[in-house]
Amino acid sequence: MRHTPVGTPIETIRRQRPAATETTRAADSGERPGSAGRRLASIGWYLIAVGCLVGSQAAAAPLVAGYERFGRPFFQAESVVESAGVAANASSLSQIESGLLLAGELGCMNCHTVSPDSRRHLLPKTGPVLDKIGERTRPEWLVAYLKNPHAVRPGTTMPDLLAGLPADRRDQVATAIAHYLSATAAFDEVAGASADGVAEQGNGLYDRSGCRVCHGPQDPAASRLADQIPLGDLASKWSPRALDEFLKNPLAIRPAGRMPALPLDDGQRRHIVASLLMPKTLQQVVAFNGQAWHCNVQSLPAFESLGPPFATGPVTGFNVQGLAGRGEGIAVRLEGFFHAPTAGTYRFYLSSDDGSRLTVGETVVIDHDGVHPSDERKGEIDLTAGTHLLRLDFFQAGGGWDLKLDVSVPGKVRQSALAWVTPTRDGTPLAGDQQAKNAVPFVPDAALVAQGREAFAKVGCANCHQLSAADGVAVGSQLASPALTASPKGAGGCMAPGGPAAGVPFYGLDDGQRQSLAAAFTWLASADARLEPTRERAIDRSLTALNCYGCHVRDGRGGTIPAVAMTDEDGEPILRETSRDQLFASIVQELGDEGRLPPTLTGVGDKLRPEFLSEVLLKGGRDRRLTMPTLMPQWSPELAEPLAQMLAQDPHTDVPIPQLVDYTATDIHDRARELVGSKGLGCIKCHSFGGDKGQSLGVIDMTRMPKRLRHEWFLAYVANPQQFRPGTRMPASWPDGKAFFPTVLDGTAAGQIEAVWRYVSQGKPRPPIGLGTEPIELVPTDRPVLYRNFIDGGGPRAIGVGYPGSVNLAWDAEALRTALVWRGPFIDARRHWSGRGEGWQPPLGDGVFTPDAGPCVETLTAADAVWPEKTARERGARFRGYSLDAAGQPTFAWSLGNLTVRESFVPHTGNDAPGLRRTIEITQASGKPPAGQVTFRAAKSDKVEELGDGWLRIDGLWRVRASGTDLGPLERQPADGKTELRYRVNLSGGQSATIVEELSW
Amino acid sequence: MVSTRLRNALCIYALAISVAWLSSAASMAAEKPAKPSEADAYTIKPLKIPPDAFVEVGALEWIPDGRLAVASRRGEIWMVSDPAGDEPRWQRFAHGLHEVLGLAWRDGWLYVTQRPEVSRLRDADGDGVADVFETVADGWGVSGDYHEYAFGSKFDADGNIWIVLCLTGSFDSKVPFRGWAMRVTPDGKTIPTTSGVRSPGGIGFDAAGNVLYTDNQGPWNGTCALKHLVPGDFVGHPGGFKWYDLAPEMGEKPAEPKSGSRMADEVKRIPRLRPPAILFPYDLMGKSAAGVVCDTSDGKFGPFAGQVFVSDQSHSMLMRCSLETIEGVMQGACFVFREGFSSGSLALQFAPDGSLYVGGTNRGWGSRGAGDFALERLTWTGKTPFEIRAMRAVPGGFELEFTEAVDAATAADVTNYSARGFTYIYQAEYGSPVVDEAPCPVERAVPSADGMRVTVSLGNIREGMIHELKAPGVRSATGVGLLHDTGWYTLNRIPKAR
Repeated sequence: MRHTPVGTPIETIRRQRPAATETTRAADSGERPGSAGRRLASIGWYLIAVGCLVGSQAAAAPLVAGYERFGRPFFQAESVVESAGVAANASSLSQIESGLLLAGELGCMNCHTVSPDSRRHLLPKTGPVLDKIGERTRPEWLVAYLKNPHAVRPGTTMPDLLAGLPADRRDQVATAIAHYLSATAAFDEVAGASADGVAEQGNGLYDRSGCRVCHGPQDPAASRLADQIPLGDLASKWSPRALDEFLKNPLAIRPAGRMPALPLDDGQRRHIVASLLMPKTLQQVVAFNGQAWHCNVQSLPAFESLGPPFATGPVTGFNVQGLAGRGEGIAVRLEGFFHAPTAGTYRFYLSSDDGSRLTVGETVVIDHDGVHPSDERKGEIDLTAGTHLLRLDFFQAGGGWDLKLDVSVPGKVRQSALAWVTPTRDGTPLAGDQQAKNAVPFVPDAALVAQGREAFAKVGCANCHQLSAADGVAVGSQLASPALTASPKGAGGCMAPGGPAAGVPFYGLDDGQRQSLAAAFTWLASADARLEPTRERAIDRSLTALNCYGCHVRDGRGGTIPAVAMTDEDGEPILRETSRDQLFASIVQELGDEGRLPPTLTGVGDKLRPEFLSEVLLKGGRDRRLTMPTLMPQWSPELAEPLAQMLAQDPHTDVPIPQLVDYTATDIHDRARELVGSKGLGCIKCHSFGGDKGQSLGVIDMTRMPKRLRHEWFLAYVANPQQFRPGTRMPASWPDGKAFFPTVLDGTAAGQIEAVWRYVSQGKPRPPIGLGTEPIELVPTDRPVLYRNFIDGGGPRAIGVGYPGSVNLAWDAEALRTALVWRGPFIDARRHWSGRGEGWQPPLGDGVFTPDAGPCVETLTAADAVWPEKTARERGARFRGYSLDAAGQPTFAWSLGNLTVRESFVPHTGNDAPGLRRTIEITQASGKPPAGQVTFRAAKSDKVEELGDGWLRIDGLWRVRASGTDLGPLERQPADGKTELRYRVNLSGGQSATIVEELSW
Repeated sequence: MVSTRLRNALCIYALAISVAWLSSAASMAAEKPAKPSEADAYTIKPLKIPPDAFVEVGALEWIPDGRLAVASRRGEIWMVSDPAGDEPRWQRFAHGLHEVLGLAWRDGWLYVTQRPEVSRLRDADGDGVADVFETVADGWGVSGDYHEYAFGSKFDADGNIWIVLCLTGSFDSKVPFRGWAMRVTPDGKTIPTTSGVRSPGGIGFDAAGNVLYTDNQGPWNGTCALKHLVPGDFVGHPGGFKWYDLAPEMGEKPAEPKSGSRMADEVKRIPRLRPPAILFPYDLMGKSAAGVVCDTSDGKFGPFAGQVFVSDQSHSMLMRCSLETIEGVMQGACFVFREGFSSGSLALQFAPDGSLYVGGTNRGWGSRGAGDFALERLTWTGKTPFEIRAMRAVPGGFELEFTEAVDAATAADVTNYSARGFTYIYQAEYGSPVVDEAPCPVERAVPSADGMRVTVSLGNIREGMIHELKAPGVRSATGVGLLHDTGWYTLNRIPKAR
């Protein structure tokens, strides 16, 4: 039997949205989207062509997600339906249904009267509320949009009401309406906290939270699914604050509710705002001229005294490594001119690894000096409008580097300073291009406002849009439209093929949409339309119109399964759409698709309580947030309540509820608590409990279940999860109805499951055993305790040693070094000895320092040679293990080249500072001559102080003294801006040497 | 034409329900009063563990002096004297090791596979506590991800320890040789041996010395499996392919498998891809295949000498495997053997007396046995259970070998059997539903003259499928029904002749 992969990318059948079929308008205005492909599209058919995804070229026909995905006529072809059998029926809409969907989404009923019989087959949709629209929408955008809606927002469902007018007249009326709308309130550029988002984080949230499901990728050039509605240039329309307000509650402006609200917190939402408004090509901008020096410093140097730079020139983005030619041991000065658009307070955000300093004019705004990992500091400065010299100093000692400067310009979203800086004083910053457009403040013209008001009522805007005048009374419409009839006007009406006609809304319908609408109107006039839609039909219509199917499956439609039966090159059906599947990310990979894909809606009314159905639709979903990044959004009550009521009527699983009459409530709760806990069935290994994730995977909180689930469904599901969700990871904890704990309560599966239900239904159930874990502190008593695990700072092969007397160390068996030394308590093993043991455990005590940067003994070609930089493993060095002496103290052994080194430690725990004595024994393989000068490195430090008696204080933190008859005098070797403390080692008899190193702190 | 697969996928609910119904119907039919239990033949006895010991057993080894070495995930090794007695004596031999998942004894040294290395431990001063910890081999990386487990075998005939290295997480290999099987030679070399490992649960040998390890459901593993490790091969998960660059002796990396395909198809396309010897049907057997051990007791453990036993961590059970090699490819059947262990069953060790020690942990992954940890001894009572001892592929069907002679009348009645074939998708996504499911009509059942074997002829036998064969109605000559009436055979190759 020939197998064909399931879930391969769709390569064979590919769809494209056709462009609109009109040609006259394109000819007359010349400002429509490119006419390429229009000829093809005028065939009114679907292309079997390259690419299943729609490219970036704009298509002017209205874009209704459900129609694009399920309603396109290609997939209604009789032959396809027949050949694909049940799959096609489950996935595609009939022409009548797709027409009804369009009639609702295009707002036909807002102008045309329809019979009450017809009305119940159409979901109404009004346009956005335009009260105070001037406050949130840039006037320039309004002008451009009203002049040509289909060009500015390709796919908009708003008809062009002015399309039939001569070009000059059209522009005049559009401008007048724009003035009228802008006069409702002054555009508010003030951003405040709304500007605090970070675009990079917003990008991730946009992709993962669900925005991308409906809107596709933010990058306008990236390919998108046919049903994804592009966002257009949001920065030209919105201020940060307005967009933030809108996303917080889209229903206030768009009561039709097709755009729901995602339950994001303020910070997350503002990150998304930042990403939506941020120019997409910033990292390629050349904003600074730079100078770079190669030098090893531990803090910002005096740049003036560094001498001639290694390199100078323009810098792309913040790529100082590109300028300096390396990423370590560098100091860089970037200079550019900051263009302040207005006078005001500017807040800068500087993050760097290692140190940096921001100077604007003569003022140091942020000092972020020193060696440190990447973190952010803020600073503010009051600036006048105009250009200001901006200087960014930076250095990087070793390891990874990072440099980034963001700025909040008054009234703007926080964004990279690259948008506001140019290398020369007379340059135009990226943000300035946009700024220039807004340079002349918009002033509504009283005469135009009056004309606009008149036009607003006359041409039909008021049919769809609420706009309350200053007196609070909504503007009424004066547009007279005929009633909808079975055969709409072939010519002259909204649906007329060809170009727009004067006084008629122009939707840019393509032939497929026109045919669907015609079929729907014919059907609405028939006797069939007088019947109520069935419940399933009505649910399906809602899920389609609201694009619930973007995420969810119900009865074979929606989710990541294909819109229609699709086949691969061998004619085998494709069961999953890869490009859609990739919209859903994962937090807990072990949960597979269950943790990643939004839950099925098949039988959802059986599963969820009616109250919870309403709640989750109205308030959004939060129960899966620990495992699923995609968020369930919030819908308007007008849409949510009827949908919840219909879903609640799904056929109900009915099982008897055990009474457990022989047991007291306390008994039931206590025994169920045992079952749920780690000593029982271990439900909490996967499920959270009472708001505590504990050691679980974070799967839905058990105490939320009685609020979410129908009691009977819970009993039936837990008894046999596979029956409800084939392949689920939820185990059958009572396989074949058998109880693992036959002595608990009545010993029956049903009785025990009911007990669990009652236990988790209590107001505040006692947490089950094993939910949280106590610290597991390892305490050395008479002998050292060893702990081999992932110790933070000691590497993944760390061997912790806790000595009696509160002296501890971590030996790094990969880098072959004494990685950490500390005092006080040794270590808490809880992290690694509970749950799966993930992550890094830092020392429990304090006074932590790193005495040893790598193998402390090397054979150097010369006494002043550079200490080798490659890893120990790369140079063939190897950990050889350890032995324990009679007191249980370890001696670690390692080898490098001809040398074998043994390091043993004796703690010193007197009344003075704690200390360790490290004895280092070096032996050379016999018969092999020395390959160079054997050298011991006691420390590599920023600051060395001599304390007398051979003691040296390192970095002000700890003290070291090296001694031994085989040791030469101390030699200070500069290295990477630090000082290495080196000693030559004389192997006695050419074979061995012993060094004693005392550490104290 | 609507393909079978499409219909299957769309009817997945119906299938699952019917499977559940079939199995419950079968168990109801078998629930006669005389039904023998697993405990009649094999008893589980927990070992007494000192109250202060927290022994999440990761590995076990028998020491020639009669002690049992027990390694814990917390990095301790305990030596248990008189483990079969009522009062075993526990002494802590070592501590501070890193999640030990392999123990092997040789020449006075205890070889320990811990996360980053194979070490060997010795008690030099004779006080019963190890004082020498030598690093034997560390030719792989650890990044700090908990998922990067290392399971180690006993010694093979050449003195090598085989190591299977879990990937970094389920998909990636961040440091060298995660997702590979390696051999550690007696002189301490680490040799890259087989790629394609995902998330092992244990490693061992069959009676002939073939190396077998368990891998778990996840990406490229539609369900848990017992896999045969052969040097140079690729066993399924391409996540570690980049390390072919560090393993010139392994040649070029194999072609990438095609996600969404079937193992049987990809094996034809990728010559070095070796299919799993046994797929354990998800949830019908276990959910988390773990330790591997071969019954080398020569009958002291009952009628299954030479067979391989695999523990399942999630179901706290032992599964039994009958293996054979057809056209150079290992395959065979699995059966439920013994359920009811006290924690998630992991480590397995036979003792010279023919008893099997089963060590468990359920930390991080839940198990039916609710104990945090367990160490139990499984012994044969001497009573032979009526079981399908082995299931072998023959042209046109399967030969069942029983532990006792069958009743010829019930054994020859085709209505006493049922069979179906199915498999899992071989894909990059996590796990897989059951796919390609189709019934196999039982055409004939012919008992052998001695009644120890029955050849069952089936229709619709398909290469690459798991074939489930149930024999609920077959009785032994003494009138007893089967203790476990189902075998699942992974049919990589259909034999051309008997």
